[in-house]
Amino acid sequence: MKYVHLPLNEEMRSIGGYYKIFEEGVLDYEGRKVLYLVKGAHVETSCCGSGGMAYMNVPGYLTTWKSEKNDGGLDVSEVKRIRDSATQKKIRKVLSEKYPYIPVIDFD
Amino acid sequence: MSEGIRDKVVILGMGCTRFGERWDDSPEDLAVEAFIECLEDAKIEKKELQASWLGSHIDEINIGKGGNFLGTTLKLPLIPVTRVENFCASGTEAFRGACYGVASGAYDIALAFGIEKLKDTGYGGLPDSPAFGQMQAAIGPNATAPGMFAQLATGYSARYDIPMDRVKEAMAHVSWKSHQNGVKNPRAHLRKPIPIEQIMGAPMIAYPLGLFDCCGVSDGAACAIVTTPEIAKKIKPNEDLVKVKALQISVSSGEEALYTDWDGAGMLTTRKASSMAYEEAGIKNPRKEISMMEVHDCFSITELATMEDLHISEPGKGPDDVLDGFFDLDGQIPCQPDGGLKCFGHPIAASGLRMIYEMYSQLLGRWPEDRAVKDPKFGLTHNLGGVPNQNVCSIAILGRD
Amino acid sequence: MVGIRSYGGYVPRYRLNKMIVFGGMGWINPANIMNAQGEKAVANFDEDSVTMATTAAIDCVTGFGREEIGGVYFASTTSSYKERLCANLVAGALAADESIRTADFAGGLKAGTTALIAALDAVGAGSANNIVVSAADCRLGKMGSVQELMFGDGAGSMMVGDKDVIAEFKGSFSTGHDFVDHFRGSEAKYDRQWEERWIRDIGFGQFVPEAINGLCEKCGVAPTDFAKIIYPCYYGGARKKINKTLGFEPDKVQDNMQAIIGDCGTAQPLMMLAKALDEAKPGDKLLVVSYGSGCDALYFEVTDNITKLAPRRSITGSLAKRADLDNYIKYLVWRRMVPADTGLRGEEQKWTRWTLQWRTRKVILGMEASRCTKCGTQQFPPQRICVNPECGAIDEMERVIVSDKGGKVFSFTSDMLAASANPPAMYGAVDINGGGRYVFDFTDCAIDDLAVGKSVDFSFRIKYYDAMRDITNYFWKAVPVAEEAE
Repeated sequence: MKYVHLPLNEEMRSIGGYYKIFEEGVLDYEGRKVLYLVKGAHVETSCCGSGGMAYMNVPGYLTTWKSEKNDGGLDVSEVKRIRDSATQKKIRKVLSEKYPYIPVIDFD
Repeated sequence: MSEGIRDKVVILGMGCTRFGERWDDSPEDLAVEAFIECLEDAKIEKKELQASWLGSHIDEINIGKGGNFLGTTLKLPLIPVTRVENFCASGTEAFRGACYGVASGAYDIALAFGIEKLKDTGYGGLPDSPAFGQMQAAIGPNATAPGMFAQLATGYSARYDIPMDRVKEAMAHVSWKSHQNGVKNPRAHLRKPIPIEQIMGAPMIAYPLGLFDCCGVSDGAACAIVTTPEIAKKIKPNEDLVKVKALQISVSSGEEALYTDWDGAGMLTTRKASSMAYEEAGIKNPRKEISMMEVHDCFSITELATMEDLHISEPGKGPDDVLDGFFDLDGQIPCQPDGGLKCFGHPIAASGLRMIYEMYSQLLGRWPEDRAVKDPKFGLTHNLGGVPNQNVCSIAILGRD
Repeated sequence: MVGIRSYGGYVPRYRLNKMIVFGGMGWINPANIMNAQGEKAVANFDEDSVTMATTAAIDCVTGFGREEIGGVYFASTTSSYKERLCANLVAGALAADESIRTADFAGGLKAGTTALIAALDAVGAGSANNIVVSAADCRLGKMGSVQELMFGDGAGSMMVGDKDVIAEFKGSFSTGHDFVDHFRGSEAKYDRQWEERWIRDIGFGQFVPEAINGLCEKCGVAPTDFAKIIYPCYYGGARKKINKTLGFEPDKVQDNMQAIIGDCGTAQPLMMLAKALDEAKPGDKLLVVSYGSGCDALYFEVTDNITKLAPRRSITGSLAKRADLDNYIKYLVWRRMVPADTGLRGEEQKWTRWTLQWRTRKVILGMEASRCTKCGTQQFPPQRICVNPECGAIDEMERVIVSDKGGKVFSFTSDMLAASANPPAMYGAVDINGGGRYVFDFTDCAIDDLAVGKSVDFSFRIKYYDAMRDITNYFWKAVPVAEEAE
C-alpha cells in the first residue's frame, strides 16, 4: 500500500470542518517500524452538529521510506497494513502510553 | 387512468444563488437574488405568476412558517403561496407542487422556491428539533445523521461481502470527483480540489464515514418558473425547452425501520421512486439512457448506494463503476457535475431546486466547456430526506425535446 | 472656544411616591420616614441606563444633523452589560457614523463629569469634535433601605464642540481618591454603604469644598462668582453646611431635585446642569461638581448662543410629563428585585441571533428605513423590492432614518393575554410620517391615550430581556404625544 505524506500543521478543509496532522512518527516495535500520525479534527460547519476529536492513525509497517514522489510532489512510502487484532492491541497500548491524551487510535 | 407528468410541464426559467456562509445576506436577500435571475431567464413579468410553492425545512430560525415570507419579500401579487416541507426533499416537493399546478390546468405559470438561511443559528450544525416526532425524541437513540448513514455503509459492505477498504476507497473517489467538479463552479461554497490522500487521511466521524464523506451547513436559495409547453413556445419560440419527464416521490413504509427483511444496503424508496420515474419518462434502460445526475450526496455512502438504488449500477457493483470513473465528469454518466452537496453545502430546501437548476442549465448547454456534460438528453435528480431507515426519496427527470 | 454646544435630559415618566414605599417596607426600618418625603422617578419596565442615555442624547442633538456627531461617550454605573460597549448602542440609536470614537465611562459616580472632561479635552486638543456625552443611572437600593428612597432614575447629555458654543469651558479641577463610602462588587446587585454620618461629614463635607476650592484657585475665581453652583448630595444637612462654608446664597445653589426625582448617580450633575441651562442667561458662570470616588469640578460661562439654541425637552420638559406608579411591587418586579411567575410560556427560549443583529444593526438601533427612488414610497423595515403595488422596483432604494419622524396610530389594541411586565400590552400599526407602516408596541401610556390618528413619537426601549443568557436587546416603541405638546 502506498502512503502519501501529507504536510504537517496545515488545515485540510472539507465542507463540514477540517483536520490537521500535528505529528508524523515512527515507532520501533518488535524489530519493525510502525508509521503513525497524530491528528486533530474540528467539525464546525457540518449539518450534523459540532465537535471534533484528537486521534491517531496507523497506516501500517513501513516497508520503504519516502521512496518516490507523487504527481503533487509529495513523498510516498510503502506500508503494510497491520490486520492482526492482537498486534493492533499491543501497538495501541504502546502508543497510548506515549500519547496519554489521544483517546482514539485507528488502524487503516 | 393516470398519465403522469411527462411532457406536460416546461421549465421556463430558473435562478440559483451562490451557496455559502452568506453572513451579510438576509433570507430576503437570498430570495431576491434567486428570483431576479429566474424572472430574467423566464422572460416574463412578476404579475404573470399565478401561484407559488415555497419549500423550507427549518422552522426554528430561517423564514418562519407558512408561505407569507415569499409573498411579502417578493411582493407577489396576492397569489397563492403554499409552503411545503418534506425533509431534505422539500425543494423537489416545491417543484412538484408547481408542476402539478400547471399540469392540472389550474394555473398557467407557477413559481417553485426553495430557501434556507441557516447561518444565523449561532453554532455549527442545524438547530435541534424532534424531527421524527415526540415518541422518537423520548425513546429513540441519541443519533446523528452521519451515525445513521454510517450504518448504510456497514450494511452495504456486509450485504455484498465487499471489504470495507474497497467501500472506503469508492467513497473517497465519490468525494474526490465531486470536489474536482466544484472547483469550476462559481456558485459553490467550497471550491477547492481535494487530493485523494487528504480524503483518505481524514478522521472517522462515524465509522466508516470520514470528514470528507459528510456535508455541511450553508445558506442558499433556488427557484424555478414552470409553465405549459404551449405557453413556453410562445414566450421562447426559438429556444430549446426543458421538459419535465418524470416526478416521483416515495416515502418509507415502516419496513426498513421496524421489519426484518430490509437488507440495510440501500434505500427501498429510491429503488421504487426511480423505477416509477423511468416508467413515467419512458426510459427502459437507465444505464444507457440517463445522461447525467445530481444525487443527494449528504454522505458519500449515500451516493454510492444510490447508484445501485437508481438501477444504474448492478447490485454490489457500485464501487466498480465508481472506481472506473463511470460517474466522473468525463465518464459515462457524470454524477454531481456541479459539485453536489459536498461543494454546495446543504441549505435544505434549496438543494432539490439547485439540483434541478444544474440539470436544466446543462440541458440548455449554458455552462463553459470545462464543466459541461456533452450533449445531454435526460438529466435525473435524486433528492433524499431523513435517514436510511425512515426517509423520503424524490426523483425528477428532465429532458430536452 | 471649546464648550457645550448643546444639551438634553430625560426623566422617566413614572413617579413612585416614597410614602408608598415606606408603606411597604417601613415596618423593617421605621427611621426611613425621614427619607420618605416626595417621590422618585422610576424607569419603566422597558427602560434602563442605555435607553435613558439614548433618549437624553437624542434630545441633546435636537437641531443638529446626526452626521455631525464625532464621538459618543456613555457614562453609567448601572450599565446592562459588563462587556458590550453600550456607547455603541447609543451611537447606533443616534444613527451616528461608525467611524467615530465610542467609549463607556464607569466605575464611580463621577464618571459622568469624567466623560465630559474627556470630551472637552479631546475637542480642545483638536482630536475630535461634537462629542455627545450621555450619562444615565438606574440605581438600586435593597427593599427597606435608605438608598431605595434616595435613588432615582434619569439621564443627562451634553454635546461638546468648538462651534456656536452655548457654555464656554473655562477649566476643571479633579480629585481621585479611594474613599469608599459605598461600593458594589463585580458580582453584586446592590451597593453596600458605610455609616451615613461619615459619608456626610468626611465625604461630601470634605471633598465637595475641596474640589470647589481647587477649581477656584486654579481658575482665579471665587466660589461666590458663580450664578449657579451645581453639585449632587442628597443629605440636606450636608448641603446646608457646604453652602454655608463656601458662602453660597441659597438661590444660587441648583436644586438637586431630591424630592421629585431622587439621586441619579452619574447622571445627576449633568441633569442638574441641563436644568440650570434651561434657565440660564448669557454671561452666567456655572460651576458643576460631581462626587463619587473623587470629584470633578468644571467651570462654564454661558454665551449669547444659548438664546439661539432650538428648544428641547431637557429636564424641565421631562418633569412636566409624569404618571403615578401606584404599585411598589411592580417597581420591584421591573427591577428584577423579586421573582414573579411568568409561567412555562415565559420560559420559552428567547434566541438572540447575533449575525442578524449585526447585519441589521442600522435598522434595529437606528430605525433605518428605505425610500424607493422611483416612486418615493418610504417603507420600514428597508425592502429590496418596493412594496407599492404600482411600483415593485427592485433595488432602487435609498436609506433614510425615521426614528425622529414620529407617526400616527393606524390601529391599536390593549391585550391582556400577551406577556407584559406592565399589562395590558398595547400595540398597533403606526403610519410613519413620510411613509411606511409597521406594528409597534406602545409604551408610557394608558389605553385612554390611544386613538386612531393620534400622534406618536418613537422611543428607544428594551425590546426583550433573555434571563437565561442575561441578554438585553433594544428596539423602538411608540409613545403617544401628550395633548398639550401637539
